[in-house]
Amino acid sequence: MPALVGAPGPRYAALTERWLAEDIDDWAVRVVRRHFDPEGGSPYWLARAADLPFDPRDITRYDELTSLGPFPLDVLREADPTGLVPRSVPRPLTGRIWESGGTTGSPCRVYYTEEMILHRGVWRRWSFVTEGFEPERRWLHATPTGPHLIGNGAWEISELYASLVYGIDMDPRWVKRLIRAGRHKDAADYTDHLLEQISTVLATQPVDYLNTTPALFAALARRHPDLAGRLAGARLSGTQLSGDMYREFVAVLGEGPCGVSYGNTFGNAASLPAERDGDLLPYVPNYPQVTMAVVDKADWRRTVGYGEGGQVRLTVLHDDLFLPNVLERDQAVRHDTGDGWPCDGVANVRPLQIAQSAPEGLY
Amino acid sequence: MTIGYILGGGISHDPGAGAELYDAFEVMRALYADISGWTGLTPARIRTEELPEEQEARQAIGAIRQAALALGIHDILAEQGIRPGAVGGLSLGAMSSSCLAGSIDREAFFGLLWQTRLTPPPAPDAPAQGLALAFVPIGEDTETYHEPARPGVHLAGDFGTAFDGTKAMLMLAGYRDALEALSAQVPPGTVVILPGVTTAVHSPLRQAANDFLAPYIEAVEFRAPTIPLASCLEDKALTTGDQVRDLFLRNAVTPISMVHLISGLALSGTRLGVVVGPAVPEGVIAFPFPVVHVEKPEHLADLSTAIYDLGIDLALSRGA
Repeated sequence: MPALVGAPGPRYAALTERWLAEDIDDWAVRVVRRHFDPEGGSPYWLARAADLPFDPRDITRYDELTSLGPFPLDVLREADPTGLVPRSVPRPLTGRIWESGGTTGSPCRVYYTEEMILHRGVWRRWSFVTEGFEPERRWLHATPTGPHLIGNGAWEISELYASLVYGIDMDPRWVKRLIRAGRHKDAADYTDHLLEQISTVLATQPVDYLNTTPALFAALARRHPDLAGRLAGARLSGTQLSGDMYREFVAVLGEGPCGVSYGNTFGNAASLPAERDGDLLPYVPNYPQVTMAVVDKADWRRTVGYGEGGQVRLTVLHDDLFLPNVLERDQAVRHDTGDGWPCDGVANVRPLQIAQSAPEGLY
Repeated sequence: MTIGYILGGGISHDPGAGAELYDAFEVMRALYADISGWTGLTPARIRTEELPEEQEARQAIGAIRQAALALGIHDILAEQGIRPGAVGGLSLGAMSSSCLAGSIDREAFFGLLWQTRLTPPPAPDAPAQGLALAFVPIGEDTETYHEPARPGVHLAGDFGTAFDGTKAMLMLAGYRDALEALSAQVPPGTVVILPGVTTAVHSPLRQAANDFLAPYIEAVEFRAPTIPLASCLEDKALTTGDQVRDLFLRNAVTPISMVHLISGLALSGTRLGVVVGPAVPEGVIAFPFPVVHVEKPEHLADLSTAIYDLGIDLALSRGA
């Protein structure tokens, strides 16, 4: 791991401040040129360059990344993920391949360098600080592990936030398989199995904070309100979160922080404070390596106006992973961050709905 | 935390709607057999045959087709342990949702719909009627689109603000020539006249048809809903049999409101909306709660996933 791990807090804060000061056009040019460099570029993008009607190294602005088209996710399902890593990264590559949820089909795979792992962790740490979680506390990390990057959150909490972490494992692919097959009883049994493990830790150990999915926290709050109410805070991600759920969770936690985040294996967004009593749940991406646009569902190149809804379009600009124009299966409202963030935010994220008929079908 | 069912308005012109569900689920086929027994219509006539040309028969069978589909999907979900904790609908959907809430027997309900075929047709020389949807840019005065500012065009429905936040969505009913004149005066796509619709529903122009059906509605027994029933005519829940009857009596001549319907469902504790059947397009309405559309077998898995993700306890939802 990079030498920064375990450093004092201000060192991490300096990193996020430096990232936030980056110019997005300059950053896009830097990443594009790195991936399309004839010598040190990434095998995947160099192969793609041969089919492009222009030289991507001529790109000078972030907005011009749309000229590369939507990123084809099948590449991440079928190809060797190391092919997306620039050759300038010394081979052989070592470390972990991480997978997307894989709850509705074949998962996508990406390779994370140590710097990318640190980037993700530092932004997560930033969220802990801004949301009001204290360092040197005890956490229960009840999330997917194994191939899922969220499982690495236990490391992020312990190593970057000087905390002690308990853990239980969950398999999101199994529970979603049960649900999609209509096996509600079996899914409920699996949830019970998870809740038993969570409640055992919470009942017997001095745990301060719980990290889990909104779905599991809702089940815990319903089944064991005493244990949920005893927590000093909770951090939630991985399944959709509605305004109603957020309000209910805040009520359960009282004064304790209820932190949320939005994202996936490719890129994350941290929450800003909820507005309008939870009716507006805004998020800001881990800039500049991660940016998000809300685009017209019928025209992915057109960003909608502030306050308007559309499909989430993710762009990943790590030095060692370039994924432009990933069209997410989510919809959101475009959030104006004003002077508070160097790029757009997204709010009120929900599963994508594409109209199957024209609006005239309203009646 | 409750699941709220949302039933759309309008009649079904689509002879293929719900075919996959019908083929896959015996409980749905059983419902259609019941409806066939109550009305004399064959299941094929209800489901797959082209609607008749004659206006009132077309309206009656199209309404039965739409209502059967909604109730059939309800029955499929019920068989899987998924039941609404609150319900409401627009226009025909308001009446179908009253049936789901236990206010009116299914046989009586479909009998009423079938009765509408006998509605006296308009006089041969009566001006043609029609229906349109208006998508008005936010900030523009919607009052200029209908009476009294625009003679012959009535406000028939308010669908609220579109999901993308850019337009107010209205339904307009009126004389065909007045609707066409309006459509020609505004930018293309702003006022869309619905093809094949020849009745100015939810406007005073349907008073005669409304009066014809009133005695039949008066003769039907209405009971208090067993689950919260949101009105689409006013911003309130219907809690007595008389209130539900009143909705049936005024439905055809009163503007409908998706805004009232959504508000009522939210006040009833709806945390997940289920659009039952194909009447409300996905991704158009700005709902304040997550919504899943169910009109094909694969949507059942989407609904189950949403129920799990949103932490909804099916037993608690049923008990609401």
